[in-house]
Amino acid sequence: MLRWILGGREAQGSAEKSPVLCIGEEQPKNWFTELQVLKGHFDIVRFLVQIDDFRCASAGDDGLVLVWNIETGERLQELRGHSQQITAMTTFTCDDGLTSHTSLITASSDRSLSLWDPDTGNRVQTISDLQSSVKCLLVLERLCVWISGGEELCVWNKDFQLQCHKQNHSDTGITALIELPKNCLAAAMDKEIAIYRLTVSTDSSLSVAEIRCLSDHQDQIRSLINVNDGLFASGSHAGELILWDAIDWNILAYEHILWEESQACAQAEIRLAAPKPSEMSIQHLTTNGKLILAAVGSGLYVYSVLSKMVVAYRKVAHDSNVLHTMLLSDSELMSCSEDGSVRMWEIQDLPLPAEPASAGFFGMWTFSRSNKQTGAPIKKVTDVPNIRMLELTGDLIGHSGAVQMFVNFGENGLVTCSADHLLILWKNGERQSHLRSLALFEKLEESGGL
Amino acid sequence: MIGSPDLLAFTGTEGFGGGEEDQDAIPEELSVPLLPPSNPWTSSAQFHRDFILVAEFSEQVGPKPVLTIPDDPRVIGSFDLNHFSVRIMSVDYQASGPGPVPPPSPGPRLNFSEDSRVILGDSAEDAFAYVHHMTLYDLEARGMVRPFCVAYVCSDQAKLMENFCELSTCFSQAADSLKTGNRQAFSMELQRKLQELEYTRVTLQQETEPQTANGLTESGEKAGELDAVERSISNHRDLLRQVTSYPNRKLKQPDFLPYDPADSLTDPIALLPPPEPCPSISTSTRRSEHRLKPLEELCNAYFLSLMKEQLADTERRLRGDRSMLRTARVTNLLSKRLTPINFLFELWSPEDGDEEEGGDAAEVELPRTTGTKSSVEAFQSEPMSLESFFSCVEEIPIKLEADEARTVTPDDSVATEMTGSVSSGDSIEVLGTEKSYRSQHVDTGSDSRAADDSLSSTEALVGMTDTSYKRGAVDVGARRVRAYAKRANSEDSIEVLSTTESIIPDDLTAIEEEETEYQSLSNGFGNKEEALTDYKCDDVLKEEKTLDTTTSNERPVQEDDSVVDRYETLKQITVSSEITIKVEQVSEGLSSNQVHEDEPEKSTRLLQAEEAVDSTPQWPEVHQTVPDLHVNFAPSVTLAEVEQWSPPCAPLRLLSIDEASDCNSFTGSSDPPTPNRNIHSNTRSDRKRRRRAGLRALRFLKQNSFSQHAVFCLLSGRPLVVVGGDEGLVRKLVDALSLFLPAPGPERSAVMMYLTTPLQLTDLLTWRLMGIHRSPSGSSATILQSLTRYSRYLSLLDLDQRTLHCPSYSGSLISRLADPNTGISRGLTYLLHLESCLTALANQALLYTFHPALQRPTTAGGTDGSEKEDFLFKRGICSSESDLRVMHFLSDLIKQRHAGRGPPVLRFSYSPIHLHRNTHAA
Repeated sequence: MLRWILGGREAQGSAEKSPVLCIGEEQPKNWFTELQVLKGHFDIVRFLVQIDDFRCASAGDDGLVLVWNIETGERLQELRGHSQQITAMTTFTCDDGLTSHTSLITASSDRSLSLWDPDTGNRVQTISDLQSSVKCLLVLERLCVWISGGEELCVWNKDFQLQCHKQNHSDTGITALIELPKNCLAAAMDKEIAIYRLTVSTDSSLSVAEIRCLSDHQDQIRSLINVNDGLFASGSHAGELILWDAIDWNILAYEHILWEESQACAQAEIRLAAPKPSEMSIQHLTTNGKLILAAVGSGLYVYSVLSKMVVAYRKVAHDSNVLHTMLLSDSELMSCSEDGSVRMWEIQDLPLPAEPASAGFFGMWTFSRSNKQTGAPIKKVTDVPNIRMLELTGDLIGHSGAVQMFVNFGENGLVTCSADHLLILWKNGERQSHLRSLALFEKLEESGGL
Repeated sequence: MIGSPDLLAFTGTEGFGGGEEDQDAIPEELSVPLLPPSNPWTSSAQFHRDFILVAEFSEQVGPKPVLTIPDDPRVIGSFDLNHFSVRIMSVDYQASGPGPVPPPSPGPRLNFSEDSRVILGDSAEDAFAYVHHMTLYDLEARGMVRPFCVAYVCSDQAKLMENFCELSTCFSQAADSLKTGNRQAFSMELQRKLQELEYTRVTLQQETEPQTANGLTESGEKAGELDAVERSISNHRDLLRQVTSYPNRKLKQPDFLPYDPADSLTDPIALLPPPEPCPSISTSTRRSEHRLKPLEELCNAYFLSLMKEQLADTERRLRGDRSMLRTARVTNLLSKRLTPINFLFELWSPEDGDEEEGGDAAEVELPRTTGTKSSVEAFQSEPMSLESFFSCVEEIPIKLEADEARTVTPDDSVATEMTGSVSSGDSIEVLGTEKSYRSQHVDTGSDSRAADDSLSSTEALVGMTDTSYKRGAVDVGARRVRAYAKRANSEDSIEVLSTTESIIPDDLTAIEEEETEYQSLSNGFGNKEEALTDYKCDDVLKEEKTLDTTTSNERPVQEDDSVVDRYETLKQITVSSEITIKVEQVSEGLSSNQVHEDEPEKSTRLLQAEEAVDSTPQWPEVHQTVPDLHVNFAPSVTLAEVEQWSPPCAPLRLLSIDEASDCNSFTGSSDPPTPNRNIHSNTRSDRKRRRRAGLRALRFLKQNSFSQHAVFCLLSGRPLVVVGGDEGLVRKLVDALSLFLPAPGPERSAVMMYLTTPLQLTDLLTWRLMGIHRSPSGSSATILQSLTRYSRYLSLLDLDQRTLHCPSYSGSLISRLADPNTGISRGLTYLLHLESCLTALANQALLYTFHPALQRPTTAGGTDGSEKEDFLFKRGICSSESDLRVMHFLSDLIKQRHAGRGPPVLRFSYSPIHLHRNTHAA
């Protein structure tokens, strides 16, 4: 495919390096036909947060927080203040009856926390000289407080006043925080999940107490998410996916991703005898309440909450580790990876086993060697009728470094951030052209003619 | 016959405005002559291109040609310049009536007559001329006047009529320069004469005083002599007063140099001991021979060079036939007004406005005049103190001495001057005060240093180029010698052009192609001309020449593949040999000049070989009597090129680093003079570039089966990368393809001639046309590797493998403007065709973009794409999906330009890429 540029040898090399399927240039389902490059950061951009329908904030290792207008691609604000890399960022919407105002809370390795006004670019509040740097942030809008997790768990009110805090015993500190019903919190610390309860006393002071410690994971917990009101899920470095009851904190389901079937079916293709832990590590979990999407190594894994089983998966979805995923709908998902690409997938029903696989259907794989590998799960799938296919429908290539994260603005587009210091705004070219047309005519009306 | 030129038109100083309107008012069909020649393209003119002739009515030999611009036998052909000079000078050049009536005074009077402008023609010979008559002052000439004229000679009378205003403006400017320089020279001559007379008077007085006691008769004679001398002094003072107080209205014009009569006439001059040798040289020797001064002595060298440059500029601007000039003018005029879409295609550039006439011309010429003004101000900013005036006065004697000295002991003077001066050819333009001269040194130095830096940063230059450049830098020292020695004499900048390798191949091909074509069509003297050129040209050019003959021969015949093939193979051969030879030539020239500096003959021969190559205007060799001055011409390649890039009318304009470095980098590598970005600063070179690009684009279309796909990529906004092992070819092709690039941006910022760093995504948003040199050293491997990542957004044209990777095109839109089977065979014709096609395309895009019914839907979400497409299909604008994409892209460009915000946008599509091979076998 790429042989034309480099000549034979390099092309072969790259083909061997990327056993992943390649979708080719025809992507009728990919509607991202326009891109803008947002420049401003000068180090890895790790975090993206949606502020409202048209604004987005980005932050990364350069300690800068930039606010972007994703409709035009303009940089609206540049929030400077942190001297070291940003470790966590979240929005904080304070709804005081009539107006709701969204602020940004950032945590940095310089052991400070800041509250920013994205409209003006002002640093509204700041706390420095914390005991340790904060690794995760959680906003409890119901209580109008927010919680920072690191080596200690701190609860703050909206005016940046410390309400209470709790020291941890773990070395690694809290890496993830989620809210549970009944004023409870779940915090992931190494291999354990600690459940805390916040209690509001009569004088409206808050206190926090650890009430339970769940230590069912064999390895470090990498991801912790709320699935729905009654469930939360956690994934570990060893590929364990555990579904928990959010109220009584019992294990509802335990899935260990071992990719054993590929060993059985396609031995010739296996590069390593045993999968390395990193190949099974659950890097990221997302859910839409019905499905849980796990980024496992460089593969993707779709788990149905209802049937408590895997509905679709692809062992090698990217050339490298998947860093962030998203379920766009019940059948569409998106993933980004260290290999610099964003891929869009569709969960498709397999054609009936009796029906021969048409050339058109598999045609796009035939030019790469990957067809053998992709063939393996398909064969397996035919044996298990309720497993469906994860079909690549498009990819976005633009970043030259790992794509750390992306935020979807629906029809307004998609923002990706990457280790190459750039953000890319992917849009629907046709729609944008249309919007520009409207803008042009508006301008014409304003100026009264050409 | 001689006495009866058919006078065609005559105007006074008011200009020709009314006349031209009349011309326009006549319906086109009526202005056609009743008995047209059998073939409208034939012409009995014996010259091959328009040229400018400067002629003089010599009191000794009658009318005679003085110089032509360009000074190229290939242009003038067998045209009889002497005869024509007689004809144009036989008009009563003072017919425009007397100038301002001079006040009655006893002494001789200078008649400041106004210049006259006429259009003359010799319909039998198809030689027509716009003639500007003027008189220069010469103390030794009869009546102290020397009648001169400047004529634009052309075989098309209508062209003169159409461009009368421009001719008039430009020639007036040039004439003003010449006359100003002449007044300066004349006043200096008067000064010298006065000094001489004062000296005579003093000696006479000294002789008379002791003699008064002795004899009366002798003293009477002496007294009579003294009287005569004193009368002569007063006469000359009066003349000086007249010339220095020359009409004050001229003061407003920047070219005019006033002389303060008070300063020049006060005693200090008289009291100064006059330098003895000067009068003897300037008067006595000349008197005895009664040789008329050449133009170089009649006019201050700076102003003479200025005039020549102005004339050359005029000649360049009016090059081409009427239709071309007219098209350019109309294009400019219309494009300027059509702001919504005039950015789309590079049909005009704001600086192009120079070609405007009338009121516009005045506006546009503002920068030029300020440019000149600045130089004059540099003159004038110095208070006109005695010292500064003296330095002016002394200049010429010193120069003359130096010249003489050099003929005797050239090495000594070279050595002495080598130590002191650090200048370049630029210095000629800032003659005047030593101060301004010195400042120029510094500038030039820094420029070349900067050029050096930027040069070293461009890794891709092959070693050869590097060395030759360095040699050039070394030789700068040697060249400076001459620049200093001859700085009163401006020829160097022009002559040295003859060695500008960069200009030669393409320029010549373009011109020669036109010429050969012209010859083959006309009944002319093709063989003779060819022989002449062959004789003059070196091997390289012979090959080029034969090549071009091939192309021109193939033209009348059907487009034959075999011919094309032959042509192509030939071309391949030539291209490679061309480069090597050229590089050798340069280095040879350089080394020979270093080594054989004491062998003027060899260098001169070399130089002449190179000179013959040149197609840019040259001046006649002035200092032919001093052959060793030639020696330094060749090594001055670098600086001469730098010089060439600066517009002639803005002498103080400093070169940007880019330009300088680019010029330098061309020295040895036979590149077209198309530097990265900055070319647009120069209208002339831009036009030339476009002309050559047109030819190359045409060749690209005809020689590559995939040409339409490539054009489609450019027009649909898909970045195109040209990769090739031959850097020159890559550059040329990029240059040619840039004609098709929509919205190239100011200074063609969307074109990257030469990509030296790995491609990044942001580059794709900046550049839509890129060139990459595939160097054998492997430094380009990383760049090429970087392309693979973005292969989705790119199209790749590989010159070495003759392949193109890009989506396929099908449709009708592009075949209109890029038809490989087009009958057009001339680059210029194709350029015009392409421009008209692109204009049409831009207009369609405008219509499409601003069609209210299509683009103003009620809701933002409503997609009425099919309606839009119907619109385009029904009108026959588009016939396929590909055509639609072109229209969409152009329309989007317009929208973004006028309503876009934020960073640039890259629009792309997920269409399959195909590998297109050139089926036109090599």
